[in-house]
Amino acid sequence: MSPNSIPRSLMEQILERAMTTGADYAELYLEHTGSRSIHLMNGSVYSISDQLISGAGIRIYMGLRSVFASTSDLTGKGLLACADRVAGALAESVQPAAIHLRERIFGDIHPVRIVPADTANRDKIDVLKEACEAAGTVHETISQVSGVFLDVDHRIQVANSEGLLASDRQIRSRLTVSATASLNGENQSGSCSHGHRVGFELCEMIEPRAVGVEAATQAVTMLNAGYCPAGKMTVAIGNGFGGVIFHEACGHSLEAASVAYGQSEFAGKLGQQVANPKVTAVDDGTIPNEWGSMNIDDEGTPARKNVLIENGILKSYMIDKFNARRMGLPATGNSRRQGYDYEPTSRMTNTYIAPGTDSDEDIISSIEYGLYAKKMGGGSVNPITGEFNFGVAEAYMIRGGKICEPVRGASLVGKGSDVIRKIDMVGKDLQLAAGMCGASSGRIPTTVGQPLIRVSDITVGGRNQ
Amino acid sequence: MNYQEFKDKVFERACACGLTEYELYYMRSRSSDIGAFEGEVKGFSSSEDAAACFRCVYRGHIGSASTSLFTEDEAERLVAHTMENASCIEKDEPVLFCKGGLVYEKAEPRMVSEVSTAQMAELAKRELKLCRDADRRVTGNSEAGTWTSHSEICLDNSNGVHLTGELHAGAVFAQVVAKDGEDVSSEYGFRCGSVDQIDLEELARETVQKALDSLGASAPDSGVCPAVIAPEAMTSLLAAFSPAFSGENAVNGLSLLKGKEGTKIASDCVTIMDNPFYEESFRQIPFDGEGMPARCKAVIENGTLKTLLYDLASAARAGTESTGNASRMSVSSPISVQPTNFYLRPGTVTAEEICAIAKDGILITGVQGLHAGASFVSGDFSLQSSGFLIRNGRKDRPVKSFTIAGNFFELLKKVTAVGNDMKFNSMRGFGSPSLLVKEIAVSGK
Repeated sequence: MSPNSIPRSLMEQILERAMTTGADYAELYLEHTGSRSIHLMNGSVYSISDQLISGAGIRIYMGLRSVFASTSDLTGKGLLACADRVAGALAESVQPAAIHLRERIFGDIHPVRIVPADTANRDKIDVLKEACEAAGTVHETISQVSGVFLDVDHRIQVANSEGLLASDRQIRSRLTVSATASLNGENQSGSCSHGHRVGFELCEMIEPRAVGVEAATQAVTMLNAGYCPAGKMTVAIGNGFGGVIFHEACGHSLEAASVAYGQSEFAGKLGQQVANPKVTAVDDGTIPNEWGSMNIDDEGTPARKNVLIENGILKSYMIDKFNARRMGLPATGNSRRQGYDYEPTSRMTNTYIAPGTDSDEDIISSIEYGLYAKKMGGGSVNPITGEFNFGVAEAYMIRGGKICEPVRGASLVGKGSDVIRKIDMVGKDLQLAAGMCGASSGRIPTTVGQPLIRVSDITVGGRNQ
Repeated sequence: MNYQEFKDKVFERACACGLTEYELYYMRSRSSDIGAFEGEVKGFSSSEDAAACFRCVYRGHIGSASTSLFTEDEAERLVAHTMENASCIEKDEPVLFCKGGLVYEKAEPRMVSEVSTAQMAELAKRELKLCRDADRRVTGNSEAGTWTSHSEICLDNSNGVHLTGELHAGAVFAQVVAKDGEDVSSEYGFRCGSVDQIDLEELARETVQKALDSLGASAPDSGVCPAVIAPEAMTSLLAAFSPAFSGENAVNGLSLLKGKEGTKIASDCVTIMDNPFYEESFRQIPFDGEGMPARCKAVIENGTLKTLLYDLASAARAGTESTGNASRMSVSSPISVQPTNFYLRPGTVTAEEICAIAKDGILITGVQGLHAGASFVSGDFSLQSSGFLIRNGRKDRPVKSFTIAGNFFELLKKVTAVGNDMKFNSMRGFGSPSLLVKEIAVSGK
């Protein structure tokens, strides 16, 4: 039994069964996901992870309470037992109204030309080899190269007690190369990754060799770098994955999962000036074929573009249906989950700082002494306090308005509400970059992005005093 | 169909395809968690999952594929996909499945009793109330929760091996938010075990105290100073750098510990154990992810690297034997080398005595962002941290908004004292006591 073969009458029966104990809303989510990731190590195919996931998640609300249960057993018996498990958590006994599902088609704005199942492993391996070989030729110190080609075909169906029946098919592909440079008992690594909500045509949208060269160049650059000095300084953060600063420092704190519970430093601040007037930030799940895009979110709400901060003023949070109740605000198409066994909550899609008016040259030349964080690593945040951190994968010192020597081991720490007030220059060249974001509803594909920005001062973690 | 029926179908199909070496690994789990917020149950979730991973030798290589559908059609698809994947593998390594007739030690994991959801909800609410009532500065957006999980694992292969194991786990957690004026702190605490036997009062007291202690924290001065790394922070560091002890990473050129067996890589006082039968752990399974016997060993003993960790393939490539460390991060993940229960062996001095030895320095109680700020390949780390200053040998004012930076391999050589205050994180399978490190770079004001 696969999700697509579950009859509508059974879905209706499941929703009705889930509501027999007093729930005022029920939702059934069905998932059928095939994914493959091919791992190349030092020129040879090292492993292939090939996974089929199918299952169902059932959720009910009663006022501000939610109950969730999931199962990988998609037989009628398994699904009804799962409905009984959610119902069992509430205590009233009611005769629920009959549910009539009506299918809605929201359309697909993310066309896919070559679906993963129609692409042979061999073709993906050829691309991986091309990217990894390019990495190996960058410099004699490159000692190790590995690469991953991942593709995912994620089909979902959402049915709820309001009668909605909707589905989406989300296909994503991603190429990642990691390289290690070694010299005199020291290792430094670099990586580069490109992903989009497309099939194998990814390889025509990107230059695989360039992915390998970028990863290896970063490793070699960092091998030749000294340690980053520590202390407060002015920092220019590069475009593309640099946008992870907004993702960590502010994005998570604008998710209803934190805001609805007062667990965010931005709670209760709609309409207020929370950021520098130079900052406009957007979450947009509708960018065609972008890594974090979708047609509908995991509660069946169509994806949309939400301006979060406009010229420094807080305009919107990212809200899922359940937290919408608590907040008394509409859902924004941001409800997401890794899969059927995760309860969905508000998450980011494609989140970026919009282009500003400063030129890259002006931003760099304005810095007498500081850091140019060209490539960011990942990071994390505690939304309650707003304290965030992230690693800098490739960094350079700036002296006298000029980019100077590379430095390794840098990290940036601060408080979200502080740092967005200190973003005082915003460049023009917006770039987006694919990432994976982990939170309570699992690991999901999200896009970060920004043009080059300047943060007037931030704590840089390093080793040289 | 159930596992037994599915296994028979898969093995039947494998034979029909001419395969002679194959294996099916199966895991079935059920788990529940309940959160309490503002005196009420905030959320309840319960999951029941099963998945299986098939591996086979085809054209001289091992391929794998996994599924969560247990039907006759899927058995056929699974075998076909696995063979296709195997035919693409190129790595040069021996293809090995574990043989029958091996001797396995008996695991005696901590008992975790079955509790009703009503009882779990009650415990979560009680824990939250204990936290709220402990101090007026504890705010209404604090949370508490309970979690239980029960899993069974089966491994069958064409050598006639049939192994089964069980994992049972439970925990109560508290997320305490404290507020004093404009200053907010938040701390997380948990206890593992049978949720009905966990000392809720102790957990509340400890977590609330941590949150209150860190109120009023500010950034310390930048500089280089001695550091006491508290158990939770050291456990996070050990987990982040544990891949450096993987023999698989070593043979792939990803570990600086390659070829260092038998040499001194740490201070005399450092002993690191990998013990699948560590008594406090839930994670006690007598066999590893490919069915080899799990066994206890010192990885570092009194500063000397004794062994790296190996599965069958990496051991063969390194010319040694499996240490029983083949792991499946999830049923669908490829086999990789991972520690079982990995911990720094405690010493004899108390946490207070360690601060006294440090005299002036910094006590690190929390480190954040390890996935980005720590690289096991280079050993470098630069991490957002929180803790306390140590002045005149005693814990002084709280500090936050700073980073500590260094290199893990250098840090191991700079350990000058090891505490007796062992804390083991049973959910992660890592643990450590407090450590005193001669010097660490602090970046604050």
